[in-house]
Amino acid sequence: MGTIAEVAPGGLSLPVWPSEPETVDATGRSYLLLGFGPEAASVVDTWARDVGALGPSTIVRSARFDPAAVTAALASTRCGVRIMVAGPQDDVLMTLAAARESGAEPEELRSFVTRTDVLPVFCAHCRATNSVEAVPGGIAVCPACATVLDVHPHLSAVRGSFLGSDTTARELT
Amino acid sequence: MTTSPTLGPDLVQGFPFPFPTDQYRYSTNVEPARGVVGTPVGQWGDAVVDIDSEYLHELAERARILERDPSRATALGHMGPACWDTMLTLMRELATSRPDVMSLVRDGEQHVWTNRLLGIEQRFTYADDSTLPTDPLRYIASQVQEDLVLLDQRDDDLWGDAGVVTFAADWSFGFDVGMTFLEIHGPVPRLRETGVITRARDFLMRLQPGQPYRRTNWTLTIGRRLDVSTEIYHEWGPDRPRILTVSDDDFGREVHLRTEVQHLIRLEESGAVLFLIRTYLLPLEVLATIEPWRARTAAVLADLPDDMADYKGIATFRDRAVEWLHSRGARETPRDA
Amino acid sequence: MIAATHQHPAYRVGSREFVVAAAEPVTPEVRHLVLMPRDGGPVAPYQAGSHVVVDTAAGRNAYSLTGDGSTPDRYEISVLRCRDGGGSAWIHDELAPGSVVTIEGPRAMFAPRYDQRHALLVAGGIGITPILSHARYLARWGGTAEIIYSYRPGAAAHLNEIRDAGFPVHEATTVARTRELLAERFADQPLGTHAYACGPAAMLETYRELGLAAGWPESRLHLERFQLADLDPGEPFTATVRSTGARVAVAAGTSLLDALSEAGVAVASMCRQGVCGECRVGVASAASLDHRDAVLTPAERDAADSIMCCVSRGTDVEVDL
Repeated sequence: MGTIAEVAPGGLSLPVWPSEPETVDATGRSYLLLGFGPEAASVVDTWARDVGALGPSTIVRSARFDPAAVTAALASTRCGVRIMVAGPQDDVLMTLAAARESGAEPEELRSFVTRTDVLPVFCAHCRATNSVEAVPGGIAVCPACATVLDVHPHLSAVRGSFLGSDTTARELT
Repeated sequence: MTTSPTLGPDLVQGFPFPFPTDQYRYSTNVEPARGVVGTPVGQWGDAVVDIDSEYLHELAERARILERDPSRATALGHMGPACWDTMLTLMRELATSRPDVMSLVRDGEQHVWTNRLLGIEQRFTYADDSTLPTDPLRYIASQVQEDLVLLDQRDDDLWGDAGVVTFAADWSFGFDVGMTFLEIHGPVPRLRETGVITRARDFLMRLQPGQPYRRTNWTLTIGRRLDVSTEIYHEWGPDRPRILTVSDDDFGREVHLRTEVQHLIRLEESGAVLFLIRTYLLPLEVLATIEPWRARTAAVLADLPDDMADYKGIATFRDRAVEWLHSRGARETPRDA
Repeated sequence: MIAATHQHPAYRVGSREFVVAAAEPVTPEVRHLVLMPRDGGPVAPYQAGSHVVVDTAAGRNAYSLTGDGSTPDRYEISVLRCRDGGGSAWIHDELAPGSVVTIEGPRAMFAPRYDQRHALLVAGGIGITPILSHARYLARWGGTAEIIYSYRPGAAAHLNEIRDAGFPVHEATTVARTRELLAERFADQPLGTHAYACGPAAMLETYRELGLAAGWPESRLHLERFQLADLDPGEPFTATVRSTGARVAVAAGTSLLDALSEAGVAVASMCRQGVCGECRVGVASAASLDHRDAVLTPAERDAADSIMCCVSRGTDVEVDL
């Protein structure tokens, strides 16, 4: 199953992450494995071992999500590929969004999140997207425009980010 | 925030009053388009694209908003056919409903579009963006008062992949673009539990060309303010506490019943579903002069559950609105002695 | 409630008369028709891969439109003469320029994925018709594609048009070469490609099998069936009409649809091949059902409460009519 931004049963557009790394989909013919940060290393190692002889695999490891590198890796794949991503929530969400943008279908994507205390927030006012330490429903400061933001429990799978909007007006109500 | 200037009489006579009963709950309240609905003071509903006396004013407002924030007009890369389909569909709709001022004439591979209200005569080649002053979706959005959202249907779901939304009521189209219909409605309390939104989605997926439908939605808006989007929350959010401090007369002038008439149209060439969202605002001070509307609005607001009032952003002043509406009734139609 | 009082005429998809403006053979067995609306008005645009339903003397037949669907002023179809007599023979033998036919639609059941990054188009025989429509749509809107066309030598309709559509065309004239080409091209498409196939049942089976084997998920493998595998005649059974209690004997080799019709119980139908879904009837009860259609989902089959009466059979079936 695809793992991105399934709509949670609670009625909000929140991501539901698997508690264990998902297994390798043996119906793929090639594999792109992406790992971000040290915690993802062992997950990617396990995936690489399980891919084994199922097909050729490409492994991309980096400290943080880098749009150019991820897009280049996606562009080199052929249809039949399975894309597996492990890392902190912000890097995984941005990577899954980039994979979608490249035309990947949900059933071609699998992922594992190593930490959920960080998320990408889209500021409705300056329209910048930045990673912040926050939880959906919580508060964060926009690193670009310094607005104090309500982080809405509202995820855009296309952007890979949560909506943030000015919290001061809301506090007045 | 100030008073409503003199309203054109058509804005009262044509106001789509949204409450058929004394209780409002979410429902899949869709009906075939173009059915005429009579009201105590007039009627509405005969047109899919409605042009009223605010036409020039609202189009200027849209242009101003788009200039300040281009993200209100967004189309994902694959939506070109649906955007052209939308433009042509709306031009045909306008030419059919307002032949006095609009026309669309086919001239071989080209079309000639005339909109005399705006002094436009435009020759274009279908599917060729270079023959229009801007992209087709923004072009037609600059000539209709409706907001536009386009839903692409694929993988047994609907995706809001393009639109021009300048008059959003407490949401951000620029953020929501690319979401599924269910995701867009994710934050609405109670909605998913009722199954209403899933049924609406399933209804939309079966929508057939040539059979447009419509529904209404509503809220209360402070000031005659069409753009109450998330992006400029800081501009209008403070009105909510402030409105509790104003005089009774100002309250009636400032608080508006906001009705959205949403039309749902299956486009034939692209298979997309076009959502037209048209916003009408009527100040309570005018609404209260029409007794059935005053009484009905008071009843609906008094009955509305707290979570729904909260989501509609009217929790802080709903009680005052009810009291205000009751006071107007007591003044003009005294109870039996 | 007044509905659709001033709908623009370009959005009419109901039953309408068209005049045959041209009828030319494009192969010895395929005739291409140009249809203009008899009332001279505009015609509805359509999604690539759409079809219209033509009223023939021998029933209603669905034919793919070959244009790109964009602001059309006419409809064009290509009709293969089938050996069974039927509607295609009527179109070949009875229609001439000036003839009037009633058609319905267009209807979209084989539309493109607009978000596709690339398309792999696969045609077998007369299955070229909706594939040509897809290719023309992609050419108009600046998409990219490659095409596999499998045909019998001398019997390829629209070969020149598909070669001129602006995309690479791989041609095959044997089953073995078709299979080889499919395997080769499935293995080398960019991420985000969607595949579309129309052709004989056996070719579509191969297409699905090789697509899945190449690691493509089902959601990327689109297909349009124009004929199902030949069905065996089945066993005789009895159907009961719920409203009247009438019992109808269905002989081996006779469809439930035809048996009901013989007994005076009319059921709307179209393709008569278990593809279009038009003849679906409710089932109140049945000792068993033998679903042979391509319409019902597995869940709908399990529910055992409806049946495509043109192809499917059963035992002791009580139909909700």
